[in-house]
Amino acid sequence: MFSRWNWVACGFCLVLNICSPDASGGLVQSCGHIIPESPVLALGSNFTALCILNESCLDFGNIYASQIIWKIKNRLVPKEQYREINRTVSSVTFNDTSSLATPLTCNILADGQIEQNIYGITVTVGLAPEKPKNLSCIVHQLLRFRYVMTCTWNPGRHTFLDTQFRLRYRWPEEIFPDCIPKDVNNSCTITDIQFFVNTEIWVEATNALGKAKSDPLVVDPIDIVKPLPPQNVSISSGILPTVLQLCWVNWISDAMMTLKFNIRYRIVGDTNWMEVPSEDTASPRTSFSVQGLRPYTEYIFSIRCMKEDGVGYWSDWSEEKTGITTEDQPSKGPPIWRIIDTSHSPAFWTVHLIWKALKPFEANGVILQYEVTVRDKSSLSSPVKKYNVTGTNHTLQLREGTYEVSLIARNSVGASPPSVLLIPASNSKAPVKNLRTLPKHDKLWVGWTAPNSYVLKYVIEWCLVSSSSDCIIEWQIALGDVQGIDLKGIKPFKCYLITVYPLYADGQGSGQSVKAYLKQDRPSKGPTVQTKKVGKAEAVLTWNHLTVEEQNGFIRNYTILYKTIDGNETVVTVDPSKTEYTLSSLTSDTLYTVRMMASTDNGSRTGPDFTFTTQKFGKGEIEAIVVPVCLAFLLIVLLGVLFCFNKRDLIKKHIWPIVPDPSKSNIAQWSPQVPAKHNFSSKDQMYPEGSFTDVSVVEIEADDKKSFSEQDLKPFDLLKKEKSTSEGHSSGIGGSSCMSSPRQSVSDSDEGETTQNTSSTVQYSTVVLNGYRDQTPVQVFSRSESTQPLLDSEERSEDHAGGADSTAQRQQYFRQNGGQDETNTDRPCFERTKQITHANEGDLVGFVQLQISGQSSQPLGLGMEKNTQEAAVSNVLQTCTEGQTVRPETVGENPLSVDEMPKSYLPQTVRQGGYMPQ
Amino acid sequence: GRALLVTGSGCPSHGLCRSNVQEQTRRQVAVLNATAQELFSLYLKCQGEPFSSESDKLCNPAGIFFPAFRVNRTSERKEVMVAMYKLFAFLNASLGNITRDQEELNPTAKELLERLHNTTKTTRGLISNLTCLLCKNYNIFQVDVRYGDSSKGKSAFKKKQQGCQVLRKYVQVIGQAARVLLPHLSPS
Repeated sequence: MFSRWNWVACGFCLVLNICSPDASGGLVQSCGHIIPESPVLALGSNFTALCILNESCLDFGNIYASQIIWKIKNRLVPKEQYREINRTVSSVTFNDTSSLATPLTCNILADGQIEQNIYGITVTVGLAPEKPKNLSCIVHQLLRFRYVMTCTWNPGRHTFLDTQFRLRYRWPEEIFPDCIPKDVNNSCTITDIQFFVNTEIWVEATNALGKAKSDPLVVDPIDIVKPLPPQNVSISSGILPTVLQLCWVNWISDAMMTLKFNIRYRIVGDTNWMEVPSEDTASPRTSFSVQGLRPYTEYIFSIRCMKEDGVGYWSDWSEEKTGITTEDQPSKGPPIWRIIDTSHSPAFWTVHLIWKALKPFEANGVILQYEVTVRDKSSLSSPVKKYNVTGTNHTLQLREGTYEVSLIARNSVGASPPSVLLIPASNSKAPVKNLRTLPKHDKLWVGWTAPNSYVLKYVIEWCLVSSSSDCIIEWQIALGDVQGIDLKGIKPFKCYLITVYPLYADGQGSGQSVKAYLKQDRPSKGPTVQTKKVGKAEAVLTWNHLTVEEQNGFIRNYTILYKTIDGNETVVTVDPSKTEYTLSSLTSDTLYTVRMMASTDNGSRTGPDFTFTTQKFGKGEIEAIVVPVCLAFLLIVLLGVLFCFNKRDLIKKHIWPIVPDPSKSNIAQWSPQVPAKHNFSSKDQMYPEGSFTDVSVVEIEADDKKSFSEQDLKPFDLLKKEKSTSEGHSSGIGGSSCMSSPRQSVSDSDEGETTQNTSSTVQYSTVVLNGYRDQTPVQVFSRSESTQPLLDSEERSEDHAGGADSTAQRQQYFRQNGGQDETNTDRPCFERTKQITHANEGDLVGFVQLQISGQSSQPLGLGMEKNTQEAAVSNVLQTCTEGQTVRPETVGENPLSVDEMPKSYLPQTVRQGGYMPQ
Repeated sequence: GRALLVTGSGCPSHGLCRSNVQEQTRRQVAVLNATAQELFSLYLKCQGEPFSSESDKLCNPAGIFFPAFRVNRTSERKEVMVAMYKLFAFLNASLGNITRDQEELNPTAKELLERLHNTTKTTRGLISNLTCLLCKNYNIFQVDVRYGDSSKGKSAFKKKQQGCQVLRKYVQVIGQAARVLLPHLSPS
């Protein structure tokens, strides 16, 4: 805040130069000046400045004090602060110098409003120096006889002014030259000091606003000495292996100052310093024997000193020096353990003796060799075997038994006490109890409860459990009176298998094992879950255990999280030993997403998502539906068959009525054409004699349709109805598929055509002869319900036909069929119904078809229409006969001879232009 | 000449005359005593021949003025203090002269000059302490002191010889002074 006051003292003086009478002579005179000139003001004080005009200017320039205005920089000072003392002097007063700035100028308004500068001054504002505080001094020894004293102090607040600090000191009758700091204001070093004289030291701070003096410090410089550390430190081995002797040179004579010392030392490689008790080194000396050291150990030493009475400062630590103690015999035998391999034969052991190299403080020197002694305790007569080994292991081939192994380490001074290991035939002794672990910072504490028997010592084995490599055993021996040790070198997040064996004087206890982590983390990955089996409402999930490297800790549980696409997530906790779990109560035919999370004490990790869809039907549901349905169907079929069997006569009567053979009727025998029919022996077999007993023949004139009674026409109506729905159905005569052809042809006829009926009431065929268009109607047989012999018909037929035309018409009919039969006897026709579908009834009028019932259905006869569809129909028929050319024959154009009549025939219902099977 | 301890009545800088001054005085004498022989030997060494080989003859102090130091352990403390004051006032002046001469004659003998400086400073401090003790304990404000002959204008040999004679006598007397002061200035 005071920076604005920290002005550069650039004096400036703006002077209004007015040509005085002497101006012609080249002189320039100021018309006034300000007093005080360049004042230094205390911050916050008041200040008054005077602007004094020269008398010479009054007359020449017509300038007076009343015209003076004051300015700070370019800012006008309020006129309330002006005071006109007389006509040449004007004053300005500032109650607080903090409002001041530089320059402060005196100006005048000449000729009314023209402002002209008369004079200006630089104003410096600052603070008087504060009293320096906290003065303290220290004497540094630079050389043997050279000392300097450095004093420091707190200079106090910033003064914004040039402030000089001086360090002053004196004796009672002598004042020395001041010490003036260079570049700093808070310390100074005096090079000419004298010990054993009380010296008064103080600091004076001086600036333009005043002087301040610190409180004096009266001190004998000898009491504030920081001496140089002892020099030329040397270390020599003593007679004893536990002693080292230090020698050094003090750089201060005892006459000047007696010293006390600190000696510190540490083993090389160790960071912790040990210190010789201060009371042992409190007197002046130049050497000291450090005792209680370890044999054959390298130590680092360092010394410092200070005034014996403790007044003053400790010197810096001396340069570090190393020394090594001499060797001593090993203090203890090496810890020994064994690994017994019985894989080859239980009766013969491969015993790997392993021992740890003694620690330096135990070895007390360089171990030259180990001596292994093996004594067979099972057989007293067996000789003791000795081995000299330079390494730290030895393998023996021993027969199963109890052995005592002793081990001695030897260095250049002597041998260690023996370490004894008893290898019993079996670990039959009591094991430790309550084996447990506890992490302690970077160590893993293993604790156990001792067995009831006295234990010599314990062997703790541990190894890093790995899924990819063998467990490399590390081991450690603990004394029998401890019940826990810290395992070092244990890595965090790794699983260790720890086994503790108690060793007794007469045997060994079985090992107890525990797995432990020094520090756990969450698993490095989550389990990958998949389905083993998926049902309607349940799914069996499987997963693999995480490897021990992935676990990073004890898996406390698995958590299965599953959900549907839009449903809430369901969480199931699973025991960590499981690798399979069945999700139940699932919704059928639903997509589920499942993932699995493995959790340790320190967190969880989730595996990848897996989706599956539950089945629509449960196990056995389909079987439960299908099997009863099938059974029911079979039952119905069976019942139907039984019913049909029981009612076969009735069914046969309705469906397959016995059609009497007209050839065997009396009228046939009576008819002159009949004998010719009997030439067909095959038909004789097909329709045995006597089969057709109830045949009535009705002859109908084509133009006399109306003459038929309603009863007579009824079957035609029924047939018409049946046509529309019976496509592809069996005709009922013979059951052959080919039998359906004629009917099919009919079914496709126009609705307006005359219909036929094959109702159950129709017992016999009625052949209706009708003329085709302008042709003479052909005599046809029509079904009749009459059981009377066809005497009347025959008679009437004869009567009616009487001539050759009528006979020719009938012969033509039979011949037509017979002609086709010769070429198609072994050709079944299954397609005809379909192929003739397109023919309308009217078009078929000119066709003559015959269907013969028999063991095989055969197309027997074809008619040929005369209209434009002739070719098409012909093609259809060709297809049916597989390329055989069927030559349609019209009745009128190709009359058949008697010899060409069909070999057999059935009673048929014939309507206009065609035949309808029954 | 006469040394004027104080300029007026009352002890100077009374605040500096503390109880430790006696011990300081003893330590100062002890320091001088401890370093006197080394200083003398170094001086002889630095002067070269014939001083280094003929020191007994050349440095015989019989012919020079040296303040009498006729006090012993049984002498009064005041008498001892006054004798001490006269002795060290003389030595301070003489060492100053010797230092000045050696800076001229052996400017490269840094160690000798440093020791001479330190010894001179010590005698200055010793005088300051004795002034304090005489003033504070015995109200003695003025002691007659005689200084040695000035070496200015003498030849280099004479300067060296005078310095050698003074230092040899200094070695003898400082030892006596230290012994005398031991019972008188030991901490009570």
